Amino acid sequence: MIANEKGVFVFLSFDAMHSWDTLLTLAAPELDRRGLQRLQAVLAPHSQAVVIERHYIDKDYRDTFSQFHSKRFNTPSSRCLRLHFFRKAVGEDSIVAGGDEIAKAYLGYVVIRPTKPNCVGRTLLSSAVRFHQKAHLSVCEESVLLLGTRLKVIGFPFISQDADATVCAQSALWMLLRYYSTRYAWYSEILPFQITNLANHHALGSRVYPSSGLYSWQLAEALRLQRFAPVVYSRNQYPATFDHLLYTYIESGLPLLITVPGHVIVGYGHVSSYDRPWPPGPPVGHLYSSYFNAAWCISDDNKFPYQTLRAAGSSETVDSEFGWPQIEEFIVPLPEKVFLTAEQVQAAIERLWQDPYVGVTAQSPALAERRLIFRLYLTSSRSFKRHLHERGMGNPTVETIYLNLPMPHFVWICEVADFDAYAAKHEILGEVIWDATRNAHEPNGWVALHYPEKLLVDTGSAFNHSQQRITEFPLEPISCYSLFSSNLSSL
Amino acid sequence: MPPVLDIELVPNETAISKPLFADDATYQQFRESFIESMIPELERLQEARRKSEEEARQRLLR
Repeated sequence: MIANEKGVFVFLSFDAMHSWDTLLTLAAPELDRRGLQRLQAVLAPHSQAVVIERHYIDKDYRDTFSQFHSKRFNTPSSRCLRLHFFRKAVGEDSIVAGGDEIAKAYLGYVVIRPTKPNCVGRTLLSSAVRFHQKAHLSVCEESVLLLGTRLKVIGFPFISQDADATVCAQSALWMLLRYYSTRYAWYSEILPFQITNLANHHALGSRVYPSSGLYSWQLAEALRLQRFAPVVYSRNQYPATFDHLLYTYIESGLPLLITVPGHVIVGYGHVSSYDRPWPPGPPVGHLYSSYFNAAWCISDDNKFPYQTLRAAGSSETVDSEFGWPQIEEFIVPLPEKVFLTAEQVQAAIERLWQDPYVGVTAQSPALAERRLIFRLYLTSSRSFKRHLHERGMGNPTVETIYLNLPMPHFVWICEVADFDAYAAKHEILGEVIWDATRNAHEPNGWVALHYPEKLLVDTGSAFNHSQQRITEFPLEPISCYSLFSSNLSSL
Repeated sequence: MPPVLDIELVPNETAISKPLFADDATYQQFRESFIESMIPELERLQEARRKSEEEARQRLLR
């Protein structure tokens, strides 16, 4: 059904008479066949209706229009279309009335730019359109005003390149930076041409636009100019731990840039299969939780939002064509107060775990004889403390001490869990807390070491003394407790 | 100079806890062996970081 066909807002419900091709007709000339196919790939199974908002002025497109497209002899329109997708048929009255039903039906929006060959502009679709319950994602929330009604959408921002002012490098940077600025007030919003201009500072004799791409160090430099402290990992240099380190940062709720040959995409989640058995080899010891990872959740500006990148690649339309071995490098936009990187803290924790004084054999011999999972991630101590009470932490003393213990802004946490309990119930037995502002050479970087039967706390560092003062608190009774799950959203 | 206040993390902390290291010599032994054993691995990781940044200068993305 089509309503208000000649209006600013056109209401289209898909039925026997009106298919996605009807949308192509109504949204032409901005929407082309290629753009439609992209939308269908992600939205067709979920969307029953679309509202076409004509003459939409999009801040991101207007930015590239003003700075680049307007300088051409044959200029495209300065205006866009915005498509709002819904799970069920909607009309003007139901949207204006608002309420829970319309809020639940809203799937997000896609701006359609008058640019060729890629018309898909700023997009925020609910991540529920694509990922199932085993996906864990970084997402942000945006408020959208449609016919005076405020609607909410939670997902990961997407944009395709216009192939002139922006290519894949700028589009990937835009997706990443828009996520951070939408989610955290610390990072300011940046528009596409401002991203292109970040390359001005280090163009080294190349023209900035039309863009012929960026070197990956230039992406890292652009992130540095936006208040991040980026670190680059090349697969060649971390042959045994590359995929695990990538997982660790994603598990930390840090969306990042992933490079494949000649191209860059954005990674922001993972899909894990917890039914993998303990591998052949030593019957006890520990594995990292990255062992369960089956795929990354990514957005590729040449495709559509929310693809999965599987270990061996895939020929499914909804999956990325790339496989893990094709990932050459990733660039992590670390917050500026994180001085200790994942591989450094992992090396320190591994050493601590084996230490003859504070390690597992000396302090918790029973644990040393079990099959364990280590889950390493970065979080803010504020977020960590916020969820202590609901998690219980295995013993009330642990909760009280952690709540009272002064901690740095960012902490690395390595949770320790029984392999089977982790896989079946996501329960853990203890954790190591490490100060992310330390350097890896400092043995007093750990804040606390929680074994099931005792808690070791460095009260010396906590109260800013020059030397550690390690205090042991016996714990009784002992119980398992739930893992920290606030870095990523589960569907 | 006023005495430094010994802040407690939990009420009655001294009664329910104890120092992990019996004396300073044992603590220093732990500290020194930790630092020394970490050096080779940290140097290897530093080199991997340097080479990663070097490779990033060659990788064009478009």
